[in-house]
Amino acid sequence: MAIPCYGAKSMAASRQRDRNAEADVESKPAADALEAHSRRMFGLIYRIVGNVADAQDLTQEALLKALSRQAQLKDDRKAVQWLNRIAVNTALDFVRRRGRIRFEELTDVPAVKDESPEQRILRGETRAWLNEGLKLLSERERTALILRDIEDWPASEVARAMDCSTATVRSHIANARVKFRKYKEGGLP
Amino acid sequence: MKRFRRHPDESTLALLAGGDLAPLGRLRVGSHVKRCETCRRTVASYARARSAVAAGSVVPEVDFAALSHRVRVAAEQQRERAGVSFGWRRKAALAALGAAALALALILPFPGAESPDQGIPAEPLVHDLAPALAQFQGTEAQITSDGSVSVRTYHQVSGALTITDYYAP
Repeated sequence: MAIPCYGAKSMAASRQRDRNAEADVESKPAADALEAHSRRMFGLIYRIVGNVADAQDLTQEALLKALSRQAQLKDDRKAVQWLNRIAVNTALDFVRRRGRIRFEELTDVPAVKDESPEQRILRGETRAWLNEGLKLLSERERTALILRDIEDWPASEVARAMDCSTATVRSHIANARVKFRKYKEGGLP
Repeated sequence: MKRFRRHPDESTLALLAGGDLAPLGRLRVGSHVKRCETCRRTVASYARARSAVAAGSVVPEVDFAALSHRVRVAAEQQRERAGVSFGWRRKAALAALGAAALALALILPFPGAESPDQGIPAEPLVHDLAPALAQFQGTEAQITSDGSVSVRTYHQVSGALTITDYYAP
C-alpha cells in the first residue's frame, strides 16, 4: 500500500497555482488584476477570521495597505506572495485584537455559485463542524493549518507569512493535525 | 540508517501525512510505516482529516467587482488627502524658508558695506595693554588705528631709543 503522502505533489500544485495567479494578474488590465487579488486575499482572510463581513472589511484594509506601500515591493514577480503576507498579517492582527474568532452562524452561511439549497445546508453543517474543530486550536496552530492544509502553501512560505521559523511552523502544523484528528474521531469535545 | 524500534510519535506521523518531514525523516518513517499496519492506518487517518479540513473550507462568493471598486475609491480618497496634506506642508515649508531668508538678510551685512563698529577698539585693548605700558617709565605710547601699540622708551643715561611694537591679536 502506498503511503498517503501529498506533500511534494501539493507543493508543486501550490507553486503552479501561484505561477498561474501571477500570469493571470499580469495579463489582465489593472482593474481586473485588483479584482483577482481581492478574490485571493478575501479567501485567505475569510478562512482565518471565519466570517464574510469581517473578511470583506479586512480585504479592503489589506489592499489599501498594499497600495500605499507599493514602493516596498522591489520585485514584481513576488507581488502575489507579498500581497498574501499582507493579507495574513492583517487577518492575524484582527484576530489578536479581538481575542477570539467569530464564525458565522449556521443560518448566515453565504451562498456559493451554482449551489442548490440542499447543498447549501449541507455545506453549512460541514462548515459548522469544521469551525468547532478549528476553535480547539490556538491562533497560531489554526493559521498554520489553514495556510498549509487548505491554502496548500509550502511550510517555508507559511513561516515567512507568520514571521517564525519553518521548524516552529512544522510544530504548529503537527499539533493542529493531531488535535483535529482527535476531534474528527470524537476524541475531543 | 537509524530504524524505529518503536512506533513514531503522532506528530511525526501527522507531518508525514502532509509531506512535511525532511527527506531523511520521510525515508526513515516511511520505511517503518510500510512495514507497520497500525502506523499506516494512523497516517491514512491523518490524510483523511487533512482532506476534510480542505473540503469543508469553501470560500463564499461575494461581489468582488464591488469590493475592488470600493478599494479603488478609498485609495483615490487616500491619495487626495495625502496630496492636500503634502500641499499644506509644502506651503508651510516655503513660508518658513522665506522668513528665514528675510531674517538672515536683515542680520547679515551686505558684502563691501562698512561696518559701523570699525575704528579703534579702545577700551578693551587699552585696558589689556595698560600693565605692559606701566613697565616703562618715561615712555610715550602710540596706539594706531588697527589696534597696535608702538612704545618708545628713551634711556636717560645712554640716550638710546628703544621702539617696541605690540600688535593687536
